[in-house]
Amino acid sequence: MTEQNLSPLGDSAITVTIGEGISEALSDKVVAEARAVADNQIPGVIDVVASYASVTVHYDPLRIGYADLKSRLLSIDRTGSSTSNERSVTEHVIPVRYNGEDLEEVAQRTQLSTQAVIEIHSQRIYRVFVIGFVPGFAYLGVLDPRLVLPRRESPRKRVPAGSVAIAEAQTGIYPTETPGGWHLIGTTHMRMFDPNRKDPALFAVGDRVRFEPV
Amino acid sequence: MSSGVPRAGAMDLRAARTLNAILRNSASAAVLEWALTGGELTFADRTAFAAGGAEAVLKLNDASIDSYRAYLASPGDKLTIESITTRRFLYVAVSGGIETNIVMGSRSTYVPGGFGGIDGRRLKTGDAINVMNQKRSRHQVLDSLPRSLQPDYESRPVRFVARENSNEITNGELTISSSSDRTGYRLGGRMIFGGASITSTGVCPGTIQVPPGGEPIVLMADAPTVGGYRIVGCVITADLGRFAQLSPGASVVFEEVSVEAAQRALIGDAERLERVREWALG
Repeated sequence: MTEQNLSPLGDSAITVTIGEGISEALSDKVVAEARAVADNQIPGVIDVVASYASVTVHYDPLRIGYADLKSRLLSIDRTGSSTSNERSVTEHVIPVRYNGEDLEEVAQRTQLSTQAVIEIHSQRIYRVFVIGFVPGFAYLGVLDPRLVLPRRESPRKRVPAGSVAIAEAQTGIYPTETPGGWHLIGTTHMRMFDPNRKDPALFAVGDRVRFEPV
Repeated sequence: MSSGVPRAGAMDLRAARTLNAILRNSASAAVLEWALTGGELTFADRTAFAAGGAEAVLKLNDASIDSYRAYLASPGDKLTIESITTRRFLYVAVSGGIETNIVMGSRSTYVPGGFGGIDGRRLKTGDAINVMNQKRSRHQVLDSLPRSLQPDYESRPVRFVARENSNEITNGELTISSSSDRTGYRLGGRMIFGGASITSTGVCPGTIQVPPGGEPIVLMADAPTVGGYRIVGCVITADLGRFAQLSPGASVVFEEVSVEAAQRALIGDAERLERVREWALG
């Protein structure tokens, strides 16, 4: 970690750039960095947000200044946290009814049977790369290349909460009813986001997720 | 934010916090935010209140009232916001603060998510709103807060911290587009080149994004936590409330400052709020 990795996001956040692009190896490093920063409990740091290739550290500038936070971030002890493997990785099993409105269309466009789509989608263990878009929405990857389709040309105005969907090389679950452009292949009753839970989002970046047909 | 939940809260935090300071509330006490249109509040109990932010025609029963001034309403008194004349967001604070649930450590309402505040929704006609610690409402009527201690809305450049080459943004006026809401304000008025999609990365209120279409977006209070457009910089916290109050069609000029200057401006505003508190104690 050098000064080159740190850049200000305004006066209340610092972006720590770990690498470029999207890969599982990079995501491991991002998760390790986010944990290292969170574990340090630097006074004034409010939240740590991991994404594909960077970690964003949100802070209160009335409690810690930019220069101080930068030097604290540079001096964090990162030995022993270079990979996330040393800590337990949470694995979630999500029961899915593969009854999505777009399942037939996905099967046609991928030239697979619906049964094959279900098998391919539920065979992989996915990784949570990013949480965003709406509270608790997890971008899961990487999808089997046989299921990769561009987003729908016109997004739906309303996608019901609990919809399991795919788009490009990603899959995800809509936590709440929202507009959305992904292909709906199934539904789950799991509550992806609950603002009154201790951990409002069911998934955290770095978690693993498996879908189980029911 | 790691759960993907926006910061939410007042669009013009500076105004909301000034009113809380006048009423000797905690800085995080919930206030009412009125956007663009007026309305009417009837007080059920003796309540000290103050209004500010946008300029509006405000009446307590039939008497005009001033911004940034504490008034004591009696049971049955009506506060009427006849119209918002200048700027966008008007705040009404009450002594003790508005009673809400606390969700994820916040009293703010996040309407798109349907949580926080009062039932996670906009207030509607007929709602009864509870005030906290009402019994302690022993407020005396003060003068208006001196202008030098009020948030200023002078038209001067909106300062930002640059993330990368930002000449495109600083090179002349932009205008606030009509598609501007609590999530973000679009900017028009001239073409910005170099917009792009990027691998999604963390963003926050104030972040200036340039999508491939070339119309910059400044993210606001309900901003998502990650975004996939090129980031040129971030409006400084001390100027974000003033920026939020710009109406569609208003022009805006951006000026680049250092992070240190941005933080000095924020510390300056915290000191102003401290002086407001001292003033309110008489």
